[in-house]
Amino acid sequence: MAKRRSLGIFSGLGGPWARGMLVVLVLLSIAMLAIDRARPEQSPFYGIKRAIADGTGPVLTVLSAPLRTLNQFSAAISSNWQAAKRVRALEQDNRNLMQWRDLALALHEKMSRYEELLGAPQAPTPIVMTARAITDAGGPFVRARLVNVGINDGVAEGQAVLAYNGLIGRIMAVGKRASRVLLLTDLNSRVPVFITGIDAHAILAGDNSGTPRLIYIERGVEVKPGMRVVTSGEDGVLPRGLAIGQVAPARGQNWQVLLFAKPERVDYVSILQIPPVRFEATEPTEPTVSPDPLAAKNEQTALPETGTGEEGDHG
Amino acid sequence: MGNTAFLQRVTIIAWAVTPFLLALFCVMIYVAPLRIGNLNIPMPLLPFMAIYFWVMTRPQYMPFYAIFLIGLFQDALTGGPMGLWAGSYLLGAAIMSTQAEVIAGRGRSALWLGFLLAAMILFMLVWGAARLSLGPSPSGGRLGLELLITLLAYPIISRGFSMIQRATSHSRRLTVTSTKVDY
Repeated sequence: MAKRRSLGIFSGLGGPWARGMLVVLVLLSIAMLAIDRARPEQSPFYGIKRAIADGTGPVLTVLSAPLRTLNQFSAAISSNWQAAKRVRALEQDNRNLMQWRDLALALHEKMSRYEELLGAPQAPTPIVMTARAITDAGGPFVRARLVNVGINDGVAEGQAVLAYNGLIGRIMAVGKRASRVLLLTDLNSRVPVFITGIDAHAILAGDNSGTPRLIYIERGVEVKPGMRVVTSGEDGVLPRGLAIGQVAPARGQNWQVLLFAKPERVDYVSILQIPPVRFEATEPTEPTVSPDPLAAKNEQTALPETGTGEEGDHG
Repeated sequence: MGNTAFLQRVTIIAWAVTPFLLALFCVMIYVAPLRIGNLNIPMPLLPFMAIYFWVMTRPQYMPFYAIFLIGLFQDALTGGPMGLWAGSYLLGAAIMSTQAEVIAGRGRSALWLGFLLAAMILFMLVWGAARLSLGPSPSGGRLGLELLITLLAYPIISRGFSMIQRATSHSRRLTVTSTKVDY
């Protein structure tokens, strides 16, 4: 008893074994924290994280089911509440989208002809897989989510993960039955992007806030709010042209991107599986023809005005 | 008779690991997508509530190695750097343990006040560790909101823990009594 008193406030920590264990475990935590600072996919604890994600995947799916049902129910009530208004808005969207569809088909046909003339390799058709997010965005420091598909379903690292209205991230780690998605908003996320309208390249850098920043913007270009940001495909991981968001001003003459899809709120996602491009030695069909890309660019078609997709998210 | 003794021993062990398993379950609830509607409200830090509750009431059922494992489990599930929550929980629990004798036995309000202090210390620890580990300043606003929600939720959640603890104590007493009768 006298011995415990002599320890003062440390008597609450238990005996020498407990205190020794505490010191060892704290040091171990610090060591783990120090060596796990590298990029997530290069973490020495990758295997442990993957195994735990795999093991808990089914439990998390079950845990999230009741509230998911409740959310769907509340969304249905809210949807019915403003049914007439929503029908009118959807009809307008549908009319706009029909025009976009015609334009897309025309451009696709034109593009196919140019590719044929150039002998360019055929772009592989992506396979789209639907998955369900089984964890939230990972607390205040990490913006990553687990989805309920893995290697067994054909998922691989680096594949793009989209909501219906834009990119939300990429596959960072794959287990047998579950995979981790690194969201665009995570501190570790860096995605090469393309600012349409000014043809400028930049890097989209997550900072754990809802609006990632644009860094390394090409010099000499004038960025304006509202410009669309898409993937540039320069990393060789994500395909080119996936919609991300719109440019908006940030503090200190910096720029941020308002994402079309809110990565933290999406429940169902699409994972793009893109087969590798096969480069075959093909001769151009008509070598005398040299199509001028500028000519095609100058053929500006009047595009119908539609929403950009930032108005809603998956429920 | 041998079987009965074995079963009783298993029951005692099962009740002893209940707080640890419950804390692991709290981690899973913490990371599960349990949002209501489009509200982007952070989840209260349930695992820390479980750790605090048992460190203060029955520390023998929440040893340091169990706290370490709970933290590692949370690190692995959230995808963050390993050791972030594990180390923070350990340090938080160590600080709480030094104050357990002062707080214990003074009622629920003292426990809640203790939790307020412990949670504030923990959030400062974890923020500092995240800043060192992840580099740029993590979002302090979201962390503050999570702290507030955790503090507000504790009185309700701790009632649930109290009920579980009473049930386990009662069952343990019954098991021990019946063991004595058997002997």
